[in-house]
Amino acid sequence: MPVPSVKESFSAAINEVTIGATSGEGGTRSRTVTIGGDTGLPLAGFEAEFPNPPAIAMEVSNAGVEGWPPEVKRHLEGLSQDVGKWAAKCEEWGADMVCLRLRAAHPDEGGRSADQCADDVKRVLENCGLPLIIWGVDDPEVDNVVLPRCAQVASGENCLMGTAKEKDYRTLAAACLADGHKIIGEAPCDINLSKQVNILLEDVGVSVEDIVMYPTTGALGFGMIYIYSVMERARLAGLSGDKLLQQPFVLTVGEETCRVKEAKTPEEEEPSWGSVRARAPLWEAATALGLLDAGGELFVLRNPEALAQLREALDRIWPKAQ
Amino acid sequence: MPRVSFRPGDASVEVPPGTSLLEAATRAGVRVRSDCGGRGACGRCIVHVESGELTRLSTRFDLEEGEDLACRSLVLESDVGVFVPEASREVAEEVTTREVEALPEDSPPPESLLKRIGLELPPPSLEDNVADHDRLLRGLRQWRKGHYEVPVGVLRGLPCVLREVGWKPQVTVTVTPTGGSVLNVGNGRSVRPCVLVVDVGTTALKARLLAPGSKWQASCYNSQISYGPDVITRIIHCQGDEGGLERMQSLVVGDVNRLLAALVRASGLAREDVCAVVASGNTTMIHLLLGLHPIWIRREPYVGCSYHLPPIPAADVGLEVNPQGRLFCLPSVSSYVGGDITAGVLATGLSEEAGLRMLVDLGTNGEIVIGSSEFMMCCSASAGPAFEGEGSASGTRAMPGAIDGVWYEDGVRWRTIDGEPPLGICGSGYIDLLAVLLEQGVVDRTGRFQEGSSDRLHPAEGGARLEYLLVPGEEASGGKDIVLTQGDVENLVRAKGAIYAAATVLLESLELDWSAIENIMLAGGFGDKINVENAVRIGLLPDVERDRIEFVGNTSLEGAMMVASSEDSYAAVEAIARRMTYLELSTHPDYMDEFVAACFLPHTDAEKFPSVSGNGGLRSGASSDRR
Repeated sequence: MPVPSVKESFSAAINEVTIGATSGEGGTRSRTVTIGGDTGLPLAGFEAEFPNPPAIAMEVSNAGVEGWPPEVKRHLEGLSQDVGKWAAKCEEWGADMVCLRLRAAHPDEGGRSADQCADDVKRVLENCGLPLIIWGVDDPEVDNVVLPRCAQVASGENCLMGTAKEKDYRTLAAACLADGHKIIGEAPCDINLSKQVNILLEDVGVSVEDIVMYPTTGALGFGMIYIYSVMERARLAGLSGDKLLQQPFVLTVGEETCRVKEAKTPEEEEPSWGSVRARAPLWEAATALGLLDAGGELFVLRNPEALAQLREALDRIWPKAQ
Repeated sequence: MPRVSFRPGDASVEVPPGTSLLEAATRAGVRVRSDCGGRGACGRCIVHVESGELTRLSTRFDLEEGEDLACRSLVLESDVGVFVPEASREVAEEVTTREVEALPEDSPPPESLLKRIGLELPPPSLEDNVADHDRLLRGLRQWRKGHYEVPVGVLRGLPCVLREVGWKPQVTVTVTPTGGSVLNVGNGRSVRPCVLVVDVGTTALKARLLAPGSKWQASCYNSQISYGPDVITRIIHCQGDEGGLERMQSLVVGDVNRLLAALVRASGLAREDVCAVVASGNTTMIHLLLGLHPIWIRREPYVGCSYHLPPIPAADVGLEVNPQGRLFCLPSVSSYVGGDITAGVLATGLSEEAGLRMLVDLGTNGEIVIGSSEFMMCCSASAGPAFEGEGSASGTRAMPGAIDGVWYEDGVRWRTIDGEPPLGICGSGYIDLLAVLLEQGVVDRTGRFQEGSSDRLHPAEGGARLEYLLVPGEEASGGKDIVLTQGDVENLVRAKGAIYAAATVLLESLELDWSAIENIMLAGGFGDKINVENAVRIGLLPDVERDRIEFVGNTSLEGAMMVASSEDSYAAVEAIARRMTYLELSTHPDYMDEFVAACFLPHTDAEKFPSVSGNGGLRSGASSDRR
C-alpha cells in the first residue's frame, strides 16, 4: 500500500520584497537583498519553495550604545560614536543589511535635528555598501519631520523605512512613495491591526508588495509566544490568499534580547546560568531562530556573535533550492 | 450637621462631615456633571467653593485657581457655599412629550392585564350571610376561576361601596398568573383604569399610557447617568458605598414618576387612574428599579437576583400610581439579556416564525438574538452609549431638534426631527455622519480625521486633536457648536465593532453565516428611521441584500405595550424568556479577535463588505496630500 502524501500546498505565496539599489538601478549599494517568496510554512522544504533565505540586518544607532548590555557593547568599542564606521563594521561581520535607528532624534536623547539625522544616513550610505533600513523613534512629531528628510537624502537607494502605524502613517507613506523606498507597517502583536495598517497604507497609494510587517517583537523569555502565534496566524492567512497578510516580517531581535535578564545577567549573579559571554549571543540567535519558525524573514540583531551563530544555523536548516 | 448650599439657585442640604460635594449636590437635587461616577477620573465636576472649609483629595487634573472637583472635595464641620459653573451643570432635562399614533378609544382592551368587571352580587341575607369580602371573591371566582387578593386598602371602603352601588360594583383587577389582585371596587366612574408602559433604558426612559385615545409618548434621560454611562459603573456605585443602591433606585423611580406625571397631565387623567405599570429594561435596570442588589451581575459567574418576577405592588418601589397598582416587569434571560430583549422578541414575532431571523438591539448594551420558532440563542456586548447620543460632545437622544439624518449633496447636509432648530446629534444622525465623512475622505478607515481634508475640521478647544463642525453655534438652538470629535468617532467605531463582533461570534457558534439569516432587524431608540446603506457602509450591519435589513424601532417599549394589552402576550413573553439560550461572550475566545477586526470602517476583512469596500471617495480624499 502506498504511503499517502502528507504534503500541504497553499494557494498563494508571500510577497518578495527587494531592498537596496545598485548603481545600475539608480542607487549606490553594492548589492540588493530580497526577502520573502515562500510558498509554504517556514522550513517545510519538502512541500514548498523558499527562493530567498532570511536576511540579517545589524543595528546601528545614532544615539550610541548607552544602556546596552556590556556583552553587546564590548563588540562596539570605538564604533558607537560613528555610525559610518559602525555600519562598515557590520558589512565586515557579514551582515546582509544595516538598520540605522535614529534614536538620537528623540527629545529625550538630545533631539538631533532632521538635517543631522539625514547626515547620519548619508554617512552610513557612504561608508557601507549594504542595503539600508532607516527606523524612526516612535514619536509622530519627531518621525514626521525627520523621516521625510532622511528619505530625501537616500532617494534612489530603495531603503526600507519605518515605521508606519495605524495612528500615523500618511507622512511616511508619502515620503516613501516620493523617494522610492519600501515601508514597514507596525502593529503591536495583533493580526487584525497588522492588516489594518496594510489597508491604510494601500489606501494612500502604497503597493501592498512594498510593505514589510513589523508585528513588534518579544524575545525568548519575554513573551515570544504571543508574537509567534500572531505571526503564525498571519502567515497561514497570507498563504491561503489574503493579499493583506502576504507581507514578510521584520523583527527587532537584538533590541528585545537586550531587555531579557537571562541574556545579560553576569555569571557572578547567577552562577547556574553559566557564562554570559556564551549565553548572550546564543539567546539572541535562539530568539531569531524561534521567530524564523513562525515566519520571520528579516532579523535585526545587535551582537555580531549572534549574527555568526544565526548564519551558521541557517546554512544548516534553511531548505536548499531543489 | 454642616449645610452645603449651591448657587445658582437656592438648593441646600445637610450632610455628615466627610461627604463629597458631588454627593451633597446629588442629595440636594443639583445635577453636577460626572462621567466617572465620582471616582476623580473624568474631571467634569468642577465647582467653585465660595465659603467654608473643605478637605481636598489629590487630583490628577490641572485646576485653575478657585476650582475644585466636587467629587474630590469633602465637607468638614462648617457650612459650605458652592457655585456650580454652567459647564459643570448636567443639563436638567425636562421630560419631552411627543405626539405619536393615537391608541384606540377602548384602550386598554378587554384582554389586557387590567380587567374591568361588572359584577352582580346577590345581596346578603340571613341565609347567605358571608362577609362582604367573601361575597366579592365568590363573584370574582364565578367570573373566572383563580385566587384573588383584596388589599386592606380596598377592604376599608368595601362595605359602603357595595351597598352604594346596590351590589352591582365595577371591579378593577390586575391579572396574575394564578388569578388577580383587586385594585378598585366602585361605581365605574371613580377611576378610569389605564396602564403606564415604560422602557427603562440605561441612557433614556420612554413611556406611554395605555389609555383611551392616548397619543403621547414621554421620554427623559435616566438620571443615574450622573453616576456613570453604563450599567457597570452604576453597579460599582451600588457596591461602593452605603446607600448607593437606594440612591440608584430613587433616581430611576423619580424618572418614571416624572414621565408618569407628564403623561397623565397630557392625557387629562389622574395618577390614581394608573392601576398597573409594565416595565421593560435590561436586567440591571430592572434590578435597580426594584432595589434588588445588582453587584453579582458584574462578577463571574454573572448571576442576578431575579429574572422572573411576579407582579408586585407599585407602591413598594415608590411609583406614584394608584396606591393598589401593580408593577409587571418583563422577564430576563440572563444577567445581560433582559426584559428589553424578551420584549423585542415578542414585538418582532421572532419566536413565532419558521425562518431564521436576527434581532439586534443597539442600546448602551447591544444584545443580539438569533432564532426562529425552533430555537433562540442570544448574547450581549457592551457597546457604550455612543449611539444613544450620550457621552458624545454634541450627542442627544432622539427628540425634536435632534439631527437624525446627514447626507452629502454639494456639501454635508442635515435634517432634524420635526424640523426643529438643531440641538444635537442622535444615533441615526451619527451613523449617517460617520458614513458621509468616510465617503468624503474626512476620516480614514480607522476613523481618524484627515488633516486638510475638509474646511470644517478644526483643532478642538484645548487640544491637538481635530473635530468636525457640523452646525455652527449661531445656527444651533443651544448656541453651542454641534461637532463630532475624534473621541466621538472612536466611541462610535468601538460601539459598532462590538455589535458586529458579537453577531459574528453568535453566528459562528451556531455554525452559520449571514446568508442563513432571512431577516436582520435592528432595534433601538436612537432615531425614527435609519439609513440602512450607511449602517452597512460603516460596518454596523452586514453587507447583505438591503431588503433583508429592517429597522424596527424601539421594540422594548412596543413589546411592553403588547404585554400590557394582552394577557396572552404576558404568558408568551414568559415563555420566550425561558426558551432563549444565552451565550456568554466575555469568556469567549474569539470575541476579542472579532472585535479588533470589526473596529475598522467598514471592517478589516474587506471581503465581508464587497459592496462598500474599495471606496472611491476615500481614495480621492486621501490622495490630496500625496506628494
